[in-house]
Amino acid sequence: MLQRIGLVAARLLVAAFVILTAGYCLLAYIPFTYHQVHLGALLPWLSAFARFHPYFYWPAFMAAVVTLPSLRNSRTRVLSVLFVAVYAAIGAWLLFRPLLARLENDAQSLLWCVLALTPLLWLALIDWLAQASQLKWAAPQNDTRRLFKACMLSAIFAWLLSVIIDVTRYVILRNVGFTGRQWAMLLSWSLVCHLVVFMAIFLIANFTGAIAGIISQKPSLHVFFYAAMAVVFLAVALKVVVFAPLSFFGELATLTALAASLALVCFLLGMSARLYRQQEGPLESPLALLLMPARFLGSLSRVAQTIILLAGSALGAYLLARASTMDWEYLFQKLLVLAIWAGLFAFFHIAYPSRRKGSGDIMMIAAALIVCLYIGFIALRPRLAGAASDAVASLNEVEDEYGNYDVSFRLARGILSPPLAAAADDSLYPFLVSNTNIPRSVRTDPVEINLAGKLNATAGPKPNIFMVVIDSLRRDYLSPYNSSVSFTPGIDAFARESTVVQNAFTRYTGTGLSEPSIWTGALSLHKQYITPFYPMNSLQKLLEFEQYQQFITKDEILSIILGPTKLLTELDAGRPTMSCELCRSLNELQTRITESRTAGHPIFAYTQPQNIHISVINREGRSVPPGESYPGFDAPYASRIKAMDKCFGDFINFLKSSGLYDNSIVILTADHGDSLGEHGLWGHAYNVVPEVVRVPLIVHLPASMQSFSLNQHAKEDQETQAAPAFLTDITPSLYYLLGHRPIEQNNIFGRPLFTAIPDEARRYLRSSYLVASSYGPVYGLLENSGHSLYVADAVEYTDHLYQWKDDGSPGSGVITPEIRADRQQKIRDAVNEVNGFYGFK
Amino acid sequence: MKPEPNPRNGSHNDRRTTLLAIGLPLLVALFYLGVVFEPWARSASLPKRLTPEESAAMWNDCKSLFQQGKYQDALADALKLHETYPGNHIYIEMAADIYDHLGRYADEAEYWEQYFDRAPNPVTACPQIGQAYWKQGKEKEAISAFERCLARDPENSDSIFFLAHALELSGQTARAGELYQRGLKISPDYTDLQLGLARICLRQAKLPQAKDLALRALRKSPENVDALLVAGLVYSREDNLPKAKQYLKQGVKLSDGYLDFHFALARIAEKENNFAEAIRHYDRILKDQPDNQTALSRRQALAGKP
Repeated sequence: MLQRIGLVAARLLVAAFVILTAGYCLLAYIPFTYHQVHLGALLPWLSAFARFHPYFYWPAFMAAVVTLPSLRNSRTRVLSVLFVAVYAAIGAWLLFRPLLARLENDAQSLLWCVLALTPLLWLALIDWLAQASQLKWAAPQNDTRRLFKACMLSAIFAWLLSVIIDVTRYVILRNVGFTGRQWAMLLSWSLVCHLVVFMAIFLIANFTGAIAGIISQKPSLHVFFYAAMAVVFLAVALKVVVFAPLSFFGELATLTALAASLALVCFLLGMSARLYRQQEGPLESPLALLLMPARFLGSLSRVAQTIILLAGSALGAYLLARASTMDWEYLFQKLLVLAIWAGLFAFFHIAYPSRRKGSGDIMMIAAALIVCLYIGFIALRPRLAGAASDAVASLNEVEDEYGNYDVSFRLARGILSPPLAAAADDSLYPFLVSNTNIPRSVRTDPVEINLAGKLNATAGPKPNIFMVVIDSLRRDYLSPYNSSVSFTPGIDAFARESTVVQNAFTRYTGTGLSEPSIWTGALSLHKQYITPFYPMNSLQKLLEFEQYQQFITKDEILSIILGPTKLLTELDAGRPTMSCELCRSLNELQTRITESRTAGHPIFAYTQPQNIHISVINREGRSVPPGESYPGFDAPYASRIKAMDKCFGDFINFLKSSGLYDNSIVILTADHGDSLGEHGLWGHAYNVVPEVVRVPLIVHLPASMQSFSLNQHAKEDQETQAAPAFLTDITPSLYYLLGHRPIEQNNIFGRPLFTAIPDEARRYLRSSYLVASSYGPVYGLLENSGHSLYVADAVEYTDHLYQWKDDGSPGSGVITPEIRADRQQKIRDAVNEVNGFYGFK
Repeated sequence: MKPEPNPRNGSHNDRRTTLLAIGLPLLVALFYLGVVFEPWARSASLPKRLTPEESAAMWNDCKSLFQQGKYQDALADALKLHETYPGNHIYIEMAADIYDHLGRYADEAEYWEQYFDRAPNPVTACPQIGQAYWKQGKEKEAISAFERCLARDPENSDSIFFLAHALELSGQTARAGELYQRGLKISPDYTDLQLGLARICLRQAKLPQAKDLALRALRKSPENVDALLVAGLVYSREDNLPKAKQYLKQGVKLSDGYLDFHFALARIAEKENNFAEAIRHYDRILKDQPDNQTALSRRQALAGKP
């Protein structure tokens, strides 16, 4: 027994190492993950793994070596010796030329990803050759009933588990606004979806067995049919659940998914064969071999089985809850759900075999009927709706929201939705996919962005400019935007002396494109990044022209988009992006300013602290200082804002005491907002939702520029006041304030927020504005003066309509076919316009 | 050697069970695919959209054909690209340019209108949008288009000139004169604006201003035929015929096909009773414009004179 536990543990270590290595290579191949993970160290533990990869290699290698079959086995001797020789050589080579540390964002990384999987296949081959002849099969028996029972019980238990998790979340969160009737409908619908998925699995598994039976009489060959089925299941899961959220689409994604699934399933098959012992009796079916690691369950008492089931379920629920706050577009939660489903199926197949005899024909017919009824209902649903299309659309919205809390339901519903229809040629979604995350291999030359034509010298001294862009800062956690907030007195005092832009938005819901768009003052091509970037960097061009002394926290994005300059002093030099925090940056800035006051240049400072980035908060264990509480707010997030507020207030006091404040433009904003549990969402992965799109924007102007202040309450300027402001408007505003006018007027560039004459601003206004996710094919259209957001989500193949009132409370919005057609065309046109501007057809 | 038992050959030996195990999933799959592919099949009958790669290749092809003067072929590509990406102003601009080369001015105007609505910088469609209407003889629409151009970019001297010129040609001289003056405040050295204003002054009998503007233009570009014409006409109106002839003959020398010079010289010749010279100029006009009624009638009137 111990020997087998040791085998499993060692092989799991090998598999974990291989999967991490392959995963890291894949993330290097995908443009945005390369910038976020490899350059930006978004996941420090993964960066550490990459750094020490050549050293971690050896324990994994030893684990593989000690679990190789005996060299006395003539069938595997050569392969085993070769395995040791080849992988020892690779290990030695890695010590001198570490692979992961020098990966680039190119096709080679994808090749390394696939090559990294080969040890699993090699081990699988050795294991199978060593053990295949030892496998003994029981007398033939029909396993249709057993399969059906396992699937049925798994469906019901998976549903029950999801219900328990939802109810727990409901009790804790209390912000799920479903009515009793909606709860009943949703829970019933969730049961149906789970049943249909497992009945489909039953039909496919039964079909595989029947085909195998026709083609061959040898059970040892039947195993490969089941393995092939498992490969297909896993490949689909990888492509849809893992690759799609990483914005990895197309044929390469399919091939990579197939390669990874093949390696993993073969590895499992080989290990299962090694775990088999003849003295424990013959194998009842080929499926039993694939489930061998769980076979011990069959020999336990009912009490022990129940304890394991409950303990496993509790662990699954706990992990799901943990994953929900740190997930990336449900990736980890869906993987966990898949693992739970697989675990439940294995448990019920082994622990609750059907004792009844019979062919199981009725069960097959029943399963087929259940699946067909569901498909028919889904197909007819929009047509049945007909006159009541609003009600159906509303129901879809409720189901979508429920899916945010019940990921098991979300996954089941997603599997059963017909995605091909949405992916048809006339659909917007494939268009968005093909125009998003444009790979580096697609050459796009930089475009000259001149917001105000050729720059000419303007009269008068230049103001200092201080830009504090707090990553993931929400507007409703600041007192100038929300009177319930009492923990931001420093920002509140600053706001009283400044212009609080009430209707501010980001164009991009992730730092990857949002930060560059602040610097360009324009919409960006969905590519990370066009290089050289300098011709598009309007803000830097302005700073260079006006000879600003620049103090900048150069994160991994600014390292790419900023051109070389002698006037730059780096803040937070050498510090990883995710470790940049406001207090330290502002303290350093104070010191630097004090040291360089005699230089004679106006000062520009830019910092983008990460204190409240969701990955940082999670890394810090979502801790809250003792004694602090924030009723009605997310405490880990609010407590960090409180700490930042103190530092920001101190910095403003420093500017005042050093005489800089009255001649400075000070801008406090965020590159995007964040979800903090709204509708079950956390963070800002692909979410184009109101709380992520809306940002705070507070601007203090020097006394000499007060005439440019936007009086938001002036009645004669209602139209301008109601118009949305964007982060892309900041740089054009600086151009304008520094005398570089007029600002070019088009749909790509931002506009000046402050103008000498209110009418001047009016001509820049549009009826709708494109917003987008920085990392995936999710685009939105902001309309109705920033009170309505239509979102086309090509990751989930669905659209959403959000509407809200002035106070932020949600309004009602239903997507009719007309609205859908109109908004989708507008999004398509807007994306085309951006592409056209950047010469990408 | 004893054969391995088949775990599925129990009741699966029963043909019905095997048939169900295989047939039912296939039926379900067919049903599913029918449901899934039904909308797909409907969409497949719609015109196929180009992929970005196909678009890039077609765009290169289109530009190449355009440069080779194969406008009809280039048009097919441009229209296909436009159909796929109706919001992309670059394809609209190309289609409009091709229509211009093909002389299909109505289509050209339609596409410039689309460009005006969708391009990030609509002013790029100026002055072509107005000219496309003008070439169709749609004076009112042309003026409206030039007005829209100017509204988009009120400080643009070109837009001011084209609107003023259209107004001048349509007889709205007062408004044209104001615009020429406005344009000259922005760009004092803009020769076409100077000459436009000079023509208006000439019509309004403000001869000193007209002469000053024409001579300013000539100092800058001595071979500017419009300036030569205006100068010639001014001197002619002042009865300084030798000076007038000097400028007008210089104009003929530079641009014999510019018939206004021949009209002016013919009239001066008539004033000087040099009928042979006048007839020679009218004949020159009639050579290019045989139906020109003014030239015909004058030619006939002069026919009997010595």
